[in-house]
Amino acid sequence: MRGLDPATSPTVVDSGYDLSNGTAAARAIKLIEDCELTDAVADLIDALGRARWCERGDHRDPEDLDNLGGIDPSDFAVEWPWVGERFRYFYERSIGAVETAANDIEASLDALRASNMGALISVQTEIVGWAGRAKDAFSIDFLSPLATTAVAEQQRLLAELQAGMWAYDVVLRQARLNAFNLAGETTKVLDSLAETSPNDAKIALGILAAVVGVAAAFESGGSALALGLISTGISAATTGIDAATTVTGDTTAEVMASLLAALDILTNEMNAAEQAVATAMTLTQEVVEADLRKSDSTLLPSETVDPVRDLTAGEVPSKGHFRFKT
Amino acid sequence: MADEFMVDDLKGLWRTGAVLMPEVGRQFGLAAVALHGTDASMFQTSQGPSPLSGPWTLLRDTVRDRVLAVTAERCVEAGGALVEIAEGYATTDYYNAADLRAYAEDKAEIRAGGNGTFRIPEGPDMAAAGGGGG
Repeated sequence: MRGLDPATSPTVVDSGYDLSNGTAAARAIKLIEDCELTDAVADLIDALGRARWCERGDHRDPEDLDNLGGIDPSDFAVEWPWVGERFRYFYERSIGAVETAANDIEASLDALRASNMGALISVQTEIVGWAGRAKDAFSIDFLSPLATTAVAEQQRLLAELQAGMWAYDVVLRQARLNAFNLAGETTKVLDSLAETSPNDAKIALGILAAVVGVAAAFESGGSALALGLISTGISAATTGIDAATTVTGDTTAEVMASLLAALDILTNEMNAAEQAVATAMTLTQEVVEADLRKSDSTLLPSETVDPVRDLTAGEVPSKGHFRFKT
Repeated sequence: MADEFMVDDLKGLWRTGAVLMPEVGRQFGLAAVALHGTDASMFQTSQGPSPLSGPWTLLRDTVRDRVLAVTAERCVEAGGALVEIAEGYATTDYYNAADLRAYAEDKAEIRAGGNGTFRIPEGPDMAAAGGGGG
């Protein structure tokens, strides 16, 4: 015997998802603007030129170069043409486009909020006077699962999609910040080469730890589905989250070799963090695909099929009509 | 229970199918449309696309086209079923039928106004309208 209509009082179950926690966690990472990073790289190239100019002649002081009119320090940095190109990788993607996408997803989720589902509440109210098997089929197999489960699960799925976007945002932000620090610290090391004891600079290059933090800020909200990012999360142990290196050397060539190694580490960290988010998204995709294949999908309301007039005859609806939940 | 089903209830059932269920579907349609604008270029780098590009875009498309849009369509279809059921009930009772016909004609502007003809915008159309896509 089939159960009674569980939706005795009109209601739409909302996931209650608060996206502001994840958004705030992502935005807590300082955003280095394009111009800040390009200025830092230009300063690095100037410092490299000054250091190289000093190496070409005895008793040269970097400050002397500043007094030689018509000479551009960066002219002496042409032996390292890759500097600008390698740094560009860390700021060539638009943070603004990513955050616009995140906001679009939030608008999508807002459309499904219980507060915007007044029509669904009205449906539950309007059919109170209707009885019979066709009503049961509609109410129990379609309306109730939609209002009490599918809406909330779809909200959580949208939260997962948005978490993926904020995680990507964090990767881009942290990569910019690390690259900015790397450029600034390398400039200091190059400027110190003329001194008796040149500086070293230990620089943090890890990215994944920040991504793990943002994913954790998106609480799962009790999803029935094991969503890759907000339910399962990313393991902080999957890569070198404490990756750091020391930029050092006694000559420009040694310092630049050290910088190149640091750039390689930072590139790898960035790619590993993006791959970790991608893996979580793939896991979610698999979970969603499995759910959509089920006859009692958590995400979708049941499907109606013709001829609907069979329902009006008071017969038990065939399996295709607002299919029974199993 | 069924014999207590009155003409006012029949109007309510018809209205549920003709007006309310398309409205419910419209909310899911709005949710789907909101995802049309996300820009795939945000994943492009000078060294190729981000590894996140494929998996995230696939999931976005699945959520949009196979969850939200399908839910919207099923709500509209369920509304159509309710309308047919209401009309089916009405045919068993001359007075109910006449009353429902008058009610439906009175509400004809509702159906003509879009609620009864709701459709989910397709992605390519949105792109042509400047909505981006991808």
